[in-house]
Amino acid sequence: MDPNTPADFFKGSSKFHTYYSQTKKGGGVIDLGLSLRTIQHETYLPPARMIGLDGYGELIDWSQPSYNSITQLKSEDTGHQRLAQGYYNNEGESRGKYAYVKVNLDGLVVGRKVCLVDQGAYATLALQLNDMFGMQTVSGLRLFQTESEFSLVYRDREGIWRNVGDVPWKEFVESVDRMRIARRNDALLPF
Amino acid sequence: MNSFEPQSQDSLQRRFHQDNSTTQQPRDTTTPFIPKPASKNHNNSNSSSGAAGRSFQGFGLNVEDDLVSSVVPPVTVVLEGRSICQRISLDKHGSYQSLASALRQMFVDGADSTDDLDLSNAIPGHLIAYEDMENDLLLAGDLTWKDFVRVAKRIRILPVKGNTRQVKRNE
Repeated sequence: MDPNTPADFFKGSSKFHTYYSQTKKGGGVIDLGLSLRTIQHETYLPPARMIGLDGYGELIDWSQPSYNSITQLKSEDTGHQRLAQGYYNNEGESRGKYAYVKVNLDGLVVGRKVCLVDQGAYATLALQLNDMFGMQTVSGLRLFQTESEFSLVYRDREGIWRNVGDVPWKEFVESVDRMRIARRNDALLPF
Repeated sequence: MNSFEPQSQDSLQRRFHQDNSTTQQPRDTTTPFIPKPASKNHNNSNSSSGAAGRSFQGFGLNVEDDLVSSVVPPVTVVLEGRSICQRISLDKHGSYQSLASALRQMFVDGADSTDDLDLSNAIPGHLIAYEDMENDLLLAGDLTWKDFVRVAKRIRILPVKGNTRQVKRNE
């Protein structure tokens, strides 16, 4: 056996390669294989564990405050919505908060509020405005009358001032934002 | 948390103060019904009387008071010419008449209960006006009481002559 082995070794290159692979599988090669495998295991296991721990730790740290903040936000939103609903439910009118419109008479510091939903036409509006502001003038407002010294103008949703009475009542009610009782001289001035 | 605590303390103090003034009002107000001027809407008078009934029912429940007071903050009351202001919780009152009575007690010395008390004569020679969210000055009494409580940001008591002089200047 022994003299045969060196003879094969020296003779053929293919046999040499075969012998080399065989030597790997042998006892001496066993040690090398084990050491290599051990190193591989060491390189794989720690990163996996570290990655897992990092991810889990980060999740724990991130979720708790986020969960708390989300809960608080939800509760706040709910409360706000309830308040809003309460306010809107109290109104219950077609115009909602726009049912009342502010009116100012030129020269007076204090304005008034008029509920347009109660009025049915320009005539009733004129009567109510006269009840509100008539005592501040000598002969009453006499709105919509040619001899009156007062003119009623309103500001629409787009911020444009217009003369009251130019459009149908329903259209006026839907677009009016506030009104002003202007004196004739002032009314002629451009806005 | 820190921001809420002082507010709650202030609201507690206001509530205590208002509770005292509120308890006095039922004794002073002996007239069951007071007619309002013709210039005001019928809806206002109807709703205000309804609100008055509700307010008395509500006074018995502290929980409702706590809930309401947390929503509606006290309102500053400014009397023209005076540098020191008063504060009043509108949610403690259920009607304009109740507010008029409270204002009379605030600003009129030796004020007795008047049968015909209203916003127009709560403080002789003065108008009761309020500032809304848009800083417009409006006469108190045109809105329903509920809408007024929701909209009023500050109450101003102005002399009637002051309002009239503005007209004279323009004329």
